[in-house]
Amino acid sequence: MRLEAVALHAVLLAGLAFPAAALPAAPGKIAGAYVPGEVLVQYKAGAAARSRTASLAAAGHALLATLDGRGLVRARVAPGQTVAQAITAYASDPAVEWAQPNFVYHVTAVPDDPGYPYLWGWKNTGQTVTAVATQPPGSPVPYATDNPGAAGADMGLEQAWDLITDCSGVVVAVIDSGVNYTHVDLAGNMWNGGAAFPNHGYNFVSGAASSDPMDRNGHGTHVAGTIGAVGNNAAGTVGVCWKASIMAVRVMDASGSGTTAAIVQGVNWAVDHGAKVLNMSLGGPGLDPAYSASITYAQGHDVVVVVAAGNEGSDNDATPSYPCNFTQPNLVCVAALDQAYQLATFSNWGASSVDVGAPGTNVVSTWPGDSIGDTLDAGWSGSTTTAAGGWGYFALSGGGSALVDPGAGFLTASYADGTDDRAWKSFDLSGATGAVLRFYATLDVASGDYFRVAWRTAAGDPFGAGTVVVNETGVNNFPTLVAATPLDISACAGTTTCTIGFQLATDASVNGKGVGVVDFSIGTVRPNAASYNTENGTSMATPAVAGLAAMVRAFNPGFTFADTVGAIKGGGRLAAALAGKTTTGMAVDAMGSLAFINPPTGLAATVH
Amino acid sequence: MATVPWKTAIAAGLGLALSACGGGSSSKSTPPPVTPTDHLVTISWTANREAGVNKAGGGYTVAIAGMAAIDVPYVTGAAAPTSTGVTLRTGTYTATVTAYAALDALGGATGSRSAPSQVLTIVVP
Repeated sequence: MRLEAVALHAVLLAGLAFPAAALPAAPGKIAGAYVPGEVLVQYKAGAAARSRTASLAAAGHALLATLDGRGLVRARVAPGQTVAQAITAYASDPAVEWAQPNFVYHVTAVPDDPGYPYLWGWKNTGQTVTAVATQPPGSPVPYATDNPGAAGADMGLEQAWDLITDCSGVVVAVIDSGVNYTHVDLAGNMWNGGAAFPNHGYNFVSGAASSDPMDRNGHGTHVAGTIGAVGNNAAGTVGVCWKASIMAVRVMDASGSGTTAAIVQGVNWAVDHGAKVLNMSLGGPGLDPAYSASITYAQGHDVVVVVAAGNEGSDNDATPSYPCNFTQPNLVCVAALDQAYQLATFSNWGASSVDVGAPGTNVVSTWPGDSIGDTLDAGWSGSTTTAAGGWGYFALSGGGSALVDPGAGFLTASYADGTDDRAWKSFDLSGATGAVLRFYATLDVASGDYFRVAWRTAAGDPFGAGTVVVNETGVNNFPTLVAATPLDISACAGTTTCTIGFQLATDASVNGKGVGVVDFSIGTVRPNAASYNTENGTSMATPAVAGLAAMVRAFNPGFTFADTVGAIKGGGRLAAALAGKTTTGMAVDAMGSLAFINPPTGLAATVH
Repeated sequence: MATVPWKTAIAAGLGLALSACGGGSSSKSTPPPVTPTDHLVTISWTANREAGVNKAGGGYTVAIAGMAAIDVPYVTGAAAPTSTGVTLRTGTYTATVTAYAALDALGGATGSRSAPSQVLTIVVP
């Protein structure tokens, strides 16, 4: 921890010695933190010990300690009396030189994680967020709007960290694409599943169910780091909670897709195994009774469920998005705010369906491994069956290069008839335990012609001896670039010759404009990864609130889900951009939620 | 058994109710004067679960309309008291309870207070 002498000290020092006669009338407020129920009293030099005893007795106070030999004592105030009232009472005591609160001094908790300055949502200094060193190629950052934003537009975590950094008593389940539980910034904060669940969770992805919830996508690992990347470990980033208990529940595959069956199983399993907060940064348009029932099941087990509003930039009241639009009282739906606390351009909203806002742009967090990119301008081997065919490189007007077919005349000409064009390249994935292939493509491939992607673990042409993972025909989005669904090529991980190939195989009939591939990368999963990435989305805002839910429950161990939801919604700070667009108009605020007090309930009177 | 029309039965019932309240028009006598008397009234509520309410500097305030607020501070043990006694004279009163703690939303100790509870009506005979 970096200890910072904060400006607060100066404030306290200025108010350190209140002359008794100058004290405010009770029940005045005292600036700064002090020990409740205690005062320090300085007796005049001439006041005998007997006078001090009488003075304390007259005030109804109890002597706790004599602090020096010059008349300074520490006393407990009378029951029901505030410290301000006690100090005021001493003003009329002729034996007293002055009285004051027993102030509390502390350092402001600032973690030593080197990535902390990126985390504007925790402390916004007006910093500009740039791509981090291990950023995968093609990541959609930075989010240009309001970067930099406004200093102070943040969750106020430093003040909260003065009170609590350890949320490990509250299990938070990340219902997502899994978590790289070996990441250097997460391993120490993973849920202890004992011998039954040695990998800190479970994998419910259809066809792959197992006790290993390793992340093949990255989304879940990013979410987990926002909740609880280990704090103050001089590495990477820091989560809302410095210490946490993160349960990895894998319900989405490498492409980021999951089924109702997997999600319901995951939610129920997490609830049954002790999770008290669920993070669900996922959603869809369909009203799903089974999904809703799982949220109700969580409610019945006193579990808070924090969900994302969605990234369509639309009104959820008009176009529902689930689970956000479910109405269970244990649900908190989160919109994304940018660095100026404006609603992010992509964020959904809803005056009656979305509850709060949280930081959701340029969010830096943990990532499952490094990414291996390619500039697509050298090193690709190729073959063609026609003189006019073949892949080639194409210089992009904005810089960079694309792998294209036709290799000559791309954009203006069509591809060749009756050709089989192939291009491939090997990549070193040694040490990786998982891999996902990502790229963007523009396609105009006529029906009967085929665009294919294949991989193999050895060098050489992967078509024929490898595994085909894309086989498209009759598709045209030309010239728009579309992100290909991430492809799980984990079976290729660990080799030095993971070979990726592209094929355009055509017949003799109608031709299209061809294929262009850009932003090629292979995202790896590596043991003990120390990788980070910057992402945008309500998916990224949601874990900030889930982390806060864990913090609030850890701070108040007796809290129910209703208490926790009340503190999150009621303890926020008003954000103009959320007025009329959320149920509360609030951006979440950590200190506000820790200090929030729910109204008493259950009043009754008995007349005797 | 003879059946009784619903209208008749309801009218009879209303008459009975009015008589019970001393409002029957057939009686010319003046009801006996009510002598105001003091009663001890215990007001209770469910314990708040905020840690700050249940330690030094925390507690509750009971507000009874027209009277000085009653402070019910944390004193010792695991929780602040959740009841208080008050002497009330014959009449109808409304009461609310707020909870408070030393911690404030800026991390200082100027204190926080909850919104009031739902209003409780107390009828003292």
